[in-house]
Amino acid sequence: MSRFITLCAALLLNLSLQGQQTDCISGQVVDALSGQPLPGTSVTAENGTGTSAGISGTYSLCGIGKNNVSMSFSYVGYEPYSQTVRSGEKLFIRLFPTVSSLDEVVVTATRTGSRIANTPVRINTLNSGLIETLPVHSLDEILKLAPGINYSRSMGIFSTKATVTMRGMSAKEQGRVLILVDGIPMNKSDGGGFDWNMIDPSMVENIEITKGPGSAVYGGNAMGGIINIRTRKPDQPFFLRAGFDFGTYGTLGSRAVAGGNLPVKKEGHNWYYTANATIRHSAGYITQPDYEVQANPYIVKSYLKEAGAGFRTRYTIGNRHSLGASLTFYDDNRGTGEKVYQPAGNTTDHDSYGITLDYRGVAGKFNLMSSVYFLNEDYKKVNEYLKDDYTWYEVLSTRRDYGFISSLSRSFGTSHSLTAGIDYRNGSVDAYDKYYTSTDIIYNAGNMGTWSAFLQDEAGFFSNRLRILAGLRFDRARFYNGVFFVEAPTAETIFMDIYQDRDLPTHVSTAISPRFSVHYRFNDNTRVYAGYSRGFRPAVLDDMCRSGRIKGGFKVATPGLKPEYLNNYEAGADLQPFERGLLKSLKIETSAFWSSGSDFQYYVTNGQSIDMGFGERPILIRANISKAEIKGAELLFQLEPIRNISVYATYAYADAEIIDYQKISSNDTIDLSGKKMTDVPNHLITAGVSCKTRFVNTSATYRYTGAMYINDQNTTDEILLSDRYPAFSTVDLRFWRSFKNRLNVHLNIQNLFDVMFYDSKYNRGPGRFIVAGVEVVI
Amino acid sequence: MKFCGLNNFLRLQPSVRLLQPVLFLLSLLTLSSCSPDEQIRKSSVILKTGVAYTADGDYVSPGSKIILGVLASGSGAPLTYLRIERITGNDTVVQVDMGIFAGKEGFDRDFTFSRSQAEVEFWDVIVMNSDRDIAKTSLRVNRGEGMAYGPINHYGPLEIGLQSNDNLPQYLDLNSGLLYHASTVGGREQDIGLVAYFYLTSGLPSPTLTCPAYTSALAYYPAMGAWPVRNSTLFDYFTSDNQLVSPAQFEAAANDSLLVSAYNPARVSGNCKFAYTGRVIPFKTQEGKYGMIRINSAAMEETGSISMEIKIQQ
Repeated sequence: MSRFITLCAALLLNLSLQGQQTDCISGQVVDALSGQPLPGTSVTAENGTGTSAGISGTYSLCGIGKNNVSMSFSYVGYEPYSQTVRSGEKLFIRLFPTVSSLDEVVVTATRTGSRIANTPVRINTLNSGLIETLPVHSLDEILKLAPGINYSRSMGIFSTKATVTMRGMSAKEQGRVLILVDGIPMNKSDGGGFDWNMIDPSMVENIEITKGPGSAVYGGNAMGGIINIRTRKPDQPFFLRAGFDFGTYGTLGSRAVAGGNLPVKKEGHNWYYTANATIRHSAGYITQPDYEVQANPYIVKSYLKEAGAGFRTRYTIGNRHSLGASLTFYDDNRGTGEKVYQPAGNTTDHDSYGITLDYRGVAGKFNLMSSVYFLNEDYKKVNEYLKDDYTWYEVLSTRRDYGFISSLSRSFGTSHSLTAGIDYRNGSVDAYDKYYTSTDIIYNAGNMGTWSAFLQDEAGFFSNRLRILAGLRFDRARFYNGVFFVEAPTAETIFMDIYQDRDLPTHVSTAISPRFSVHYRFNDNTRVYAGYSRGFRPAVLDDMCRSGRIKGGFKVATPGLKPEYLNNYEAGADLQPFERGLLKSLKIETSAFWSSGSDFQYYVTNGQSIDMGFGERPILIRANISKAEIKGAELLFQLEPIRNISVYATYAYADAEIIDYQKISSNDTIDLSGKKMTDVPNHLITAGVSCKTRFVNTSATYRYTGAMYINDQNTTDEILLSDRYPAFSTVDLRFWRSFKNRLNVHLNIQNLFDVMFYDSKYNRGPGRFIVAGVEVVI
Repeated sequence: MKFCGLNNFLRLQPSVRLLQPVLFLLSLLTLSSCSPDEQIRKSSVILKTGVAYTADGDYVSPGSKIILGVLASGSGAPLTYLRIERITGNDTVVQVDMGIFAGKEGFDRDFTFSRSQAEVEFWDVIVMNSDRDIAKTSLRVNRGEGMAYGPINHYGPLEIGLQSNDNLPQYLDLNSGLLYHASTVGGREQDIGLVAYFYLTSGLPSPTLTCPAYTSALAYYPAMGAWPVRNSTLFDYFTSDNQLVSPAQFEAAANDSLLVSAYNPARVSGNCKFAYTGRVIPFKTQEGKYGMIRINSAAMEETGSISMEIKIQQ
C-alpha cells in the first residue's frame, strides 16, 4: 500500500484554462483521496514568490514573473509536488499523503480518506508488503500478528469458523467487532459472525484495524473495534497469477487471479477488474481426543472441501465519479469428525454469495459515497450420532443481509470537514431443523431492520497539528416477523411445545453512539491522542427467535433482548524517536484504554428446568444482565534497520471482568460478579522478522497467547479439567522466492514446534502444518 | 424466469449495459439454485402374523405379553424412524420412539409389551423413511379374562465395580444376576446388559448405570468395542430422578405388575446418571423384559462400586 501511494503521489490532474492575468496563477489544492480541500497549503514559485491556500484550498498567486515557471505545492503530511506552468493557468492540484511513519491513508475510522496522522484514533494497518511475508492460509490468520488481536481458529483450515476480536472482547463471538470488506458491513444479523473463509487472502491489498468502539460512524458491532479488509486493485493493464499448493494432511489447493487496469477510449475514463477463483481439498485429521476415539467407533477425520470465486470491478468517469461492483461466491463442505450412516457423516456447508454496487463522486463541494449490498448465506449442517438409538437431522438456515450505506462530506471554512450519512440494513434468518429419525421439524425465522443516521466533524487547527474528531450516530432497530414453532413433534422436541410462538412480539431498540477524540501532533513523527467513544452490539436474531438446546441447558428465544453498550476512554502516543542511524525507522505506538460495559448479554437461568430427553436441565434465557469493566494496554515496535529487513514486536494486556450480575430468578445459584470474561487472554505477544535476499526471502513470526478462562463461572471445566485454557506459543516460518517475476515458490510452516492446543470440547489443533506452493505469473 | 424480456430491456437501455455481467451472474446463481422436484419414495409397514405374534382382535389378559413383529421397508430410501403407540381411550402412550437406519434389507424386529388393564388397546406402528414418507399400521387388542402378571426373579445384593475398580466384577447379566470380571466375560458378551461408572456432570458427582450399546460406555470400558454383540438396556431415568418408586415399593413387588407399570417409555435412556443410594430405576432389557434396580449404596469415586438389588421378569 505504501509503495502504491508513493507511486500515485506523482499523479496530478491539470486543468488548463487561460487566466486573465498574465503573471498570475490560481486554482485549488485538495487531498487526492478524499477530495477534501487542503487550506494552508504552501504555494511557491521558483522566483521565491509564494502564498498559502485559503478557504476551500483555493489559492491565487501573482508576480510569478514569466512563462514556464516551476511551481511547488507542499502541505504537512503530504507529498510535495512541483510542476512547470505558464502564467495565467488555473491549476487543480491533488496532493497525495506521504507514506512515512504516521502517514498511511485509512478510510475506516471516519468513512473519509484520512491519514492516520490526522485521525485521533488508534489504527493499525497491515499492508500488502507485510501480508506477503506471512505464512497464512486464511484471511483471519493475517490478523494474528496485529497488536492486541484476540484470535481463534483452533483447528486451522478445518475450523468451521474463526473469530478475530480485540480490546478485551471474547474470542467466543465475532459480533462485538465489526468486519468490513471494502467498507461493506459483513457481520450477519443472525449470529453476528462473519465467514472468514469467504475472502481469499491473496485478494487482500491491506487491512485497517480501528481499535475501540466505532459505532459513532458504523453503528452495530463496532464495539471492540472495526476491521476493514480492502481488496486489491490492479495497477497494470493485465495480469494473471495461477498456482497450486500441497501440504500436510493431503491438503491440495489451487488458485487463479486475473485482472487489469484498462484504458478506456474516452478521455479521463478508466476501468479495472479483478477475478479470482480458489479451490482446496484436504483429507484432514482426527480432531477428537484419544479417549473419545476409543469410546466412539464412528469417529472419522475432519476433512475440508471448499471453492470460492470473486469478481470486482470499477469504472471511473473522469476524476469525479466512479462506479464499482463486486460479486463474491463461496462454497464449502467440512466434515466434522463423525460418521455413522450418512455418506459424508457429520458435515457443515456454507453456500454464500455477496453482491455490492457502489458509487463515489464529487459534486461541487460535496463528496458522495453510497453502496448497496446483498449478502446471502445458506448454511446446512448434517448431524448424526448413535447413542440409545440413531439420530439424524439437518439444520438448514438462510441468513440474509441487505442494505445501503451512504455518506456525504463537505468542508466548511478552513478547519472543518463535515460528514453525514444515512444507512439501512435488513437482516433475516429463515431456518429449520429437520429430523429424519423422527417427524419433527423446528422452524425459526425473524427480521431485523435498522435505520441509522450520523453526523461527524473532522476539525483541524494549527496546520492540522491539533485534530478533533467528533461524531454522533443514532440507530433504530426493529425486530419483526419472528416465529418459532415445531411441526409434528415427537420426544425429540415435545418439550419445546410451550415455547412455540408463530407471532413473536415486535421489538424496537435504539442506540445513540457519540465519539469525541482529539490528538496533537508535535511533528510528522510524534503525536498524542485521547478520546471517548461508545459502541454497541445489537441483539442477534438467533437469540431473539430461536429456542433450543445449548451447552448447559435449554435456551428460550428472547425477542425483547436489548443491545450491549460499551463506553470507552483511551489515550495513546505514536513516536519515531530517532532521526538518524539504524533506528531511524523505529516506530513506537502505545495505547491504554478503560471501558465500561452495560447490558452485557449472558445466558441466565429463569429458575425453571426442563427435561430434553436426558434429565432435567436449566432453562436459560439470554438477558442484558451484567456490567463489565475492561481495561488494557497495547504496545507496538516496528523497525526496518536496513533495507529488506523488517522487525516488529507487539504486546497487549487486557483484563475483562463482570462487575455486576443481576439475577432474574431468586433460585439462580450462579453469581458472575467478579468473574473474568471467557476467551480473553490477559497477555498477547507477537513478534516477527522478515528478510528479503536475492536467494530466498524469509520470515519468522511468533505469537504467545495467554491463558483464558473457559466458562463464565471461571470454574473447572469437566472436559479440560482446568478453569483456563493453558497459555501457548507458536512459531511460523515462511520462505519464498520469485524467479524473474514469472515463477513464485513458497514454503509455509505453521506451528513449527508442533504445539498442541485444544478447544472447549478438547478437540485438538492440527499441530505443525506445512504447505508448499508454486505460482506462475503472466 | 424469462430472460428474453430482460435482454430486450438491456438492449433498450444502453446505459445499464454495465450491469449486464452482474445480472448474468445473478441469473446463473438463480438457475443453479433450482433443482427438479425429487420423487418421494414410499414407506410401508406390516405386522408379522403367526402363533408367536399378537394378531388384530386378539384377547390378551392384563399382564400378558403383546408381541408385535414389525416388517417395514423404505422402498429404496432408508427407513429412519419407528414409533409404536399404545392408545387406550383418549390416552396415547408412546412405547417406542426410536431413530433407526435400515437400508435395502428393510426393517425386521420383534417388540414385546405387557398388556394393560384397559378394555381395548389400539396399537399404532408408524415408520418413516429418509424422504420423510410415513406409513402406519394398526392393531386392536381386546382385554382377555383374568390377570396374568408374571413371576419375577430377585437378585442381590450385587456389588458391581466402577470403571477403575479391577477387584470387583464389572459386567452384569441382568437376566441371571451373574457378574463377570473383564477376564471372565469372554463368551458371555451377548448376556451383558449393564455396566457402571462414575464421573462428574454439570458439577455433580454421578454414579451412573449404562449398557454396552450406549456409545459413551466405550469410553470407560473400551474392550466392549470389540464385542460381537452389545446389548441395549433402557433405563427410566425420569422415575429414578424424581424418585417415583420408593425402596419400600420395590421391596414389596412380588410379581411384575410394578415392574411393567413403573416403566415410563417416554423418558428412557441407555445411560442413567445420578444412581444415588435409595434410588429405584425401572428398566427394560433388549429382549423386552421389564425390571427394576434398587441402589443400596453407590461410591462417589471411580475406584469404588455400586451395591444393588434387581427384580426382573422371569
